[in-house]
Formats: sequence, structure tokens, C-alpha cells
Amino acid sequence: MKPLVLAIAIIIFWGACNDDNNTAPNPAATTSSVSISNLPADPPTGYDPTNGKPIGEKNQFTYFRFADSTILTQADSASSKWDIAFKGATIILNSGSSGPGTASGFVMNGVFSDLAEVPADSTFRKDQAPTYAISNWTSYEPVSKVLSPTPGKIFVIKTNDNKYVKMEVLCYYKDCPAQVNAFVHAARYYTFRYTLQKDGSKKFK
Amino acid sequence: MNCGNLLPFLILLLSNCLWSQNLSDSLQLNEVIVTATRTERLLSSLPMQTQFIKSKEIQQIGSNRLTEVLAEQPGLQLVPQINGLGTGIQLHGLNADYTLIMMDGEPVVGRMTGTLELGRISMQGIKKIEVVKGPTSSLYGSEALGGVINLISSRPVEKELKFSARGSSLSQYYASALWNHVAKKYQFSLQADAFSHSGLDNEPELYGKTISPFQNATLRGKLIIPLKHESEFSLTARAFIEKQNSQHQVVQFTDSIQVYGAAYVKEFAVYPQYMKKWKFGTDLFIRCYATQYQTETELFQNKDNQIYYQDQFTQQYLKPELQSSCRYFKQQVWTAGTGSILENVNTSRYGDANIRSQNTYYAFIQHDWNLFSRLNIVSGLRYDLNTVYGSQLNPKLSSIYRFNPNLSLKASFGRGFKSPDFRQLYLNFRNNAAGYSVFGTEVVVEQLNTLEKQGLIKERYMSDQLIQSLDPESSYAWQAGIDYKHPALGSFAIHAYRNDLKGLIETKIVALTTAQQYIYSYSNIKRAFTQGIEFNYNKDLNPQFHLQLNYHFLLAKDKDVLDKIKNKQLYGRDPVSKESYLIHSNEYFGLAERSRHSGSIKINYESLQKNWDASVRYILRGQYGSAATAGAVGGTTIPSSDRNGNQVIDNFDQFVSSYGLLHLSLAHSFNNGLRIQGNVENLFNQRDFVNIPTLTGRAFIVNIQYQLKLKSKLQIN
Repeated sequence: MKPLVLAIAIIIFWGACNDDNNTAPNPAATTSSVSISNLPADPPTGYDPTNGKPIGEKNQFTYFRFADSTILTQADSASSKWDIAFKGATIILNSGSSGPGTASGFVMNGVFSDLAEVPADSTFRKDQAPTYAISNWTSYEPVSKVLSPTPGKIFVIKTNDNKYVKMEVLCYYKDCPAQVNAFVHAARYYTFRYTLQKDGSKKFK
Repeated sequence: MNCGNLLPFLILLLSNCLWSQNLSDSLQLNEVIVTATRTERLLSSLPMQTQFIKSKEIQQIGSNRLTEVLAEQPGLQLVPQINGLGTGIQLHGLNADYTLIMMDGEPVVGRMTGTLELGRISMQGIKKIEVVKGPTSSLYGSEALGGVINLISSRPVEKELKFSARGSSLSQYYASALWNHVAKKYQFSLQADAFSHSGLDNEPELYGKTISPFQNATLRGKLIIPLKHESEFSLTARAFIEKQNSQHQVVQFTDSIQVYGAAYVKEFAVYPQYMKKWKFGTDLFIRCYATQYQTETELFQNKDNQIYYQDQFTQQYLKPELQSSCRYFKQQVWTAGTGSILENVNTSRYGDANIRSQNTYYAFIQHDWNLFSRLNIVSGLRYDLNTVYGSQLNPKLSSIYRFNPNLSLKASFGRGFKSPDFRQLYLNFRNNAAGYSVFGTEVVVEQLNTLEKQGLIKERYMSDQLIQSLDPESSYAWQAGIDYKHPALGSFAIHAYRNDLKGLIETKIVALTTAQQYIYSYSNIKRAFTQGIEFNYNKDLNPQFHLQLNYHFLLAKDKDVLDKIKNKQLYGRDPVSKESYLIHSNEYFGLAERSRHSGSIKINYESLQKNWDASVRYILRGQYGSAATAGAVGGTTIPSSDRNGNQVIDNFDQFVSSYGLLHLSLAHSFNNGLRIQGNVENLFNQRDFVNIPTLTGRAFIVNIQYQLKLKSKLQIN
């Protein structure tokens, strides 16, 4: 009940009370911050003993909805029920060439906890394969063969129901080992955190 | 051969000269250095920062490997190669491939994967090593970007036979024989040595060894025929052969494959030279250097004896050259030369049997000018024209001002370059298991077009024009220094330097395949600098004891990383919480493998009768970050120091700890030519299996040398 009251309060006072610190709405009250661990993104089931190549991938995305932190089934893949989906290091948003939805987003540099609101000059993009809205966020080390999320990459996403999300991928390997060994630790498991602003505003705090 | 075509140029040069008598050698007795100016110059009067390692020191170090001798020198650091194949030398904080390694003034070739394995160069018959710090491309062209290390072999001056044998508690065995012969009409020197190392195993519970066992042999010969009128013909030749036994575990994803096999290295070089000196101070050299370097690797899988990996690599290098110096009275020396380099490579690594070749044509000129009695200025310029990457012009200006015989001031400025190597131009490497390919810039467009026709390319990130052009890497550098000799306190030398490097070649992603695999090529993308101060102190404590101290402060940073930090674009990731944070400029440590502080303390002893000598050498290296070094074929794997995911060495990363190596030597020379030397290397048994797998532990070494002078026979002849 409380968030709802606050959301109404924000709508009422929006614009009128911007300069008044005492009565300014508190955007943090309508945000929810969530951490997701080990979301599988089509991990292999094993490795080919002859050439070491990963085998058993289903070539399927894992579909995710921010509002209730839910993983959807493959049956919902063609619906607007999901916002974002993961397969290996590929991340798609539910729009354009990837799905029937309207989700859009971009990747920016910054410190996740410092990002107070969506920058004013932002351009939200929809997926247009082979160009995806969420791209260039990984670093690959060819020697150790470790793929890691580049530090300081924040995804800013507008969900299917026009809510804003800031998101950071924390790691790509199962259980987030402190030092990844690509030959030992299982890849294609996402651990990430996001903050969803449920009131439709662009402020995260 | 096109030596003949160069004669008109030379005649023109000679005809321009006015002759005068030799520069008087009234200067104090001093070491003669040939590398810094391509002429004989006394070390104390040279304007470039130059050092030499004399045979006595090489003897005391008691090693037959060049790497171990260089590792103890100020401003030099032993570093692992990026590909894990052996070790190289870092001079003034520059990568090993930016220092030109020469033997008797001619380059050693064999950069199969970009860097030279210096461990293969035997110290047998090496009279001294000259090290010129700072760009010397104005005389030597490519690779002399950071400096030059020149190994100078001894000339036979008397009839003698020398035998030596060495054994180490780390199961390294070495034996050599040398025969010098001097007659009126000719002199020659013949040397042969053999070296065997049964490897080193840091983790015996694992299959294979950390350092693979090997055996090698070196054969060197020199023939000198003095001709009339102060001219001479000489022929130098060498051959080297090595077999390395490999046994190691290749880890691929969750599987590990055990392999065994061998790698062979063969190297030959022949170097005829004709030299003529005129009384009036002019000389002429006609030389032709030819060398071939060849490797062959074959690895088999343990489980079924099927071939696992195979490659071969052959590089040929031919360099005819003319050089002449002439003097204007006592004040000026003009030196000029011209030549060409014909190079070709044939290797399975480039995907076909084609021979890749490139030619370089060059000319250089140098003016050495004693402007006043105290001021000397050396200016030089070299022009290189290459069939692949075009032309390069490298100037250098150096000067020394001598206030008095004990105090001098030096300064120099110059440009150096390194041409793209064959691998960067022609590599055709596909690693299907790891899912990436690398193509050289001369073949990448053709390869991409072929893949595109097959519908395998998803996206191309760079225009054809951009990925096709690869320029040499280059550096502008300056140096300044003071040499001061106090009659009581000893000799001090302080040198400061800075190298500004640009167009450094790195791999770059050029395309993505439909299978989501990256295709890499090479590009001139990186900019960096290295700067530092070198301090050297020498003092004769008394007639028997000599003290040597040196300290090197080094800063080496990537300029693009600095820009990123300035624009608040460089982040780190906390290894535990996994959250990102911003990196500030004072938190950026610098390039990998660079220690900020390093130095050494050396004390040498020689008894008055010269029958006993000893040394205590303590070599210190400060903390540094390591880049990930892959275990290629038979190589060692070193993990990256990066702990916060930004692939940059910053204060949040795990550094390789500083360490000190204490070496001792004690030797007794008997009257009959026998010398027995005992060494303890790494007395404190410093080890770091993970970060410095090649750092061997404590070793006890015995050296026996027997020198038989055949003087009496000479008189009979």
C-alpha cells in the first residue's frame, strides 16, 4: 500500500515541488533493487573429449522480466511478457528483431550505485539484429580465455511497461569465483543486479 | 649480389674527404666501444649512454647463457615472453622486441612468434658485450628502437687451446673447447660447445616439466687473413642446433590432453668481411651477412600417439653492406654506409607453403665532430626503404661536454623504429577449440572476403583500408646524464631518459563470425611512454676490492589508459562484491612486467697476484604486475595480476612481490693455466612457482677451465 501512496504523491507533486527539499518525493521509495544469481544462459552440458568444444547447448535464450524478477518459459518467447533475455554472451531486449515488445536500452559507462537518474541525452535503442541495444559490455582475455563483464558498464533499459531499469552484470561464471579459471568454472551463468523505478520516472535515487 | 652496385656511392664519399693523421690517443687508457658510432670510440668520450660487460665479469657470473649475464646488468630486466616461449630482455622498460641483439655487429634473427629466445646464445668466445641505451635506428635500422646489445667475439691473438667444463646442481652440464691459431698469413679461432639441461619441475605431481629439458651445441669459427696495406679479410661463421623435449599437459576446457614430442632449432650464419684502412685515417668495410633460422615442432598425444600439433618455421636473412669512415683533420669523422636486407620466411603458421619475403634498402650517414676541445657532437641519419611498409627516416643527435677529465655532461635525442614482423603481416591462425582466428594485415582482407563469400561473417568492424595498413612502431627518445669521477669517493653516473612510443602494434578485433567467434588482426593502436633514472656508482675500495652499486627507477605507462582515467572511463571491479568502481590516476601502476625500483650491489675481489678472484652480487627487483602469459607449445603459463577486471595494472591488483637474488663466486687460477671456479646462484633460494616459473632455485656450480698456451711452437713456426 505504501509504495502506491508514494507513487500518487510523486505524480501530484511532480514539477511543483522540485526545489523544495522537505517535501520532494523520494524516488528511492518507489524503486526496487534486486540481485539475481546464477541465471543460466544456455550453459553447455559437457565438453567434447576430442576437441574440447562445449556440447549440449540448446541454442535457447533465457527470458527474464524485471517487474517481478521472473524467468519465463520458452513458451513465452514470442510474447511481450519478458523484457530481457540471455544466451551465452548475447543479451537481447524484447523489441525490434528480438521480440514483439517495446523494451529498449543502451550501455553507458559509470558506477552503478552513483547513477542517480537516466542521463538527459540518452538514446534508447531497440534490437535490430545483428546490432543489439545491449552490446560491447564484455572483455575477453584470449590467453586465459576468460570472458568477463567490463567493469563500469551500466545497462539502462526501458521495460515493456515503460519503467526504467539500471542494471549491472557482476559475473558470467557460476557462483562468481573471485578468480575465474575458464577451464574449471562453468560459464554462461549470469549474476547481476538491477534497480527498477516503478513510478515511471527516470530517477533511481 | 648487389654489393657491387653500391661502389659508386662509396667512391663519391671517399673523394669528398680530406685526409689527416689518426686522432691522437692522448686520452686516458679506456675501453674501446664500436657499437655506439660504428667506429672505434673511447667509452669515456662517448655522448650516448653506453655500458660494456667485460669477459672477466662474464667469467665470474659463470653462465654460458646470455640471458643470465644480461639479467645482472643495470637498467636491464629479464622478462617472460608474451607467448610463454622463453625469456627476453627489457631495456629501460621497453619490450624485449625493441632491443636489437647483434653478434659482431650483425643482427641475430629468429623471431618466430615475435620475440627472440636469448637463452640460446652461448657466451663461449665472447670477449665483451656492449650495450647502447637509447634509440640507435639512425645506425642500425629496425629493432634498435630502445637500444642495442652487441656481443663481440674475441680475435685470436696467440696460439692456445682452452677447455672448460661446468656442472650445476640443477643438472645442467656444459663443456667447451677452443682452438686459437696464429700464423703470419692467417689467424683462426675454432670453438665448439655443448650444453644439456635436464629440465626443471616445479610441480612433480603434474605431468610434464616446468622447463622442458634440452640439449644444444654451438660451433663458431673465425678466420682472419691479413692482406697488404693494412687491409684484411675475415670470415666468421656459426652454427647452432638444439633439441627440446616436450612433455606437457594441454588443458582444454574441462579436459586435459597429455602430449609429448620435440622441437628442433637450427641456426647458421656466415659473415665474410673485407676491411681496408688507409694511413690517413680512412677505412672501408665490405661485408655480407647471411643467416638462416629454422625450427620444427612435432607433438603427439599420449593416449593414441596421434599428431597433436606440428609446425615449421624457416627464416632467411641476407645483408650485403658497405661502410666507410673518413676524417677531416682531428676534428671530424664522417661515417657512411649503405646496404640492403633480403629476408624471407616460410612457415606452416601462415597457412600455406608460400615464401613471404621483404626487402629493405638503406643508407646512413653520421658526423662525429669535436667542435671545441671539450664539446663533441655526433649527428646521424638513416633512411630505410622497405617493400612492405614503405620508408623510415631516423635521425639522432648526441653531444657530450667535458668540463674536465672527471666531469662530463651528456645529452641525446633520437628516433627509433621497429618494423612489423612477418607474423603481424602474414599469420593465418585459427583456433577452433578456443573460438578465434588471427590473420596478419597482408592477408586479412583476402581471408575475410573468402569467409564472407561462404556466408560465415556476421559483422566487420573495420574498413579494408584501415586493417590493411600496418606501419612500423616508433619512438622518440631523449636522454641526459652526468658522469662524475671523484678521486677519493669514486665514479658516479646519473642518467635520465624518456621514450615516447607510438603506433605500437596490438591485436584488434576486426570481424565477428556467424558462429559468434572473433577474428583478430593487428593494428597500430597503442601509445605508451617509459621514463626513468639510472644511477651507477663504482669505487675501488682498495687494490683488491671493487664496489659497484646501481639503482634504476622506472615509470612505464600506457597513454591511452591515462586518457581513459582522465575521462573517467576506467573502472575496476571488486573481486568479492563484484561491484564496479572508478580508477583514479594515482591508482594506475603502469605497464605489466615493469618494476618501479630495481638495482644491484656487487663486490668484486681480485688478489694482488691475480690467482684468486671472487664476487658477491645481490640483484634486486621491486614489485611488478604481470600480464597473462600463455603457455604456447611447451611454454609456461603465468597468470595475470589483474584482480579487478580492467586488464590494467592498478593498486587493487595482486603484484608479484619484490625479490633479491644473491650470487657468489670464488675462483682460483693456477700457474699452469688451470682455473677452478665455484658459484652459488640464488643463495637464499628465492622461488615463485606461480608468477616466475623460470626462476630456478639455489644452485651450486663448479667450473673448470684449462688454458694451454702454445707460444713456444709459434716461434718454431
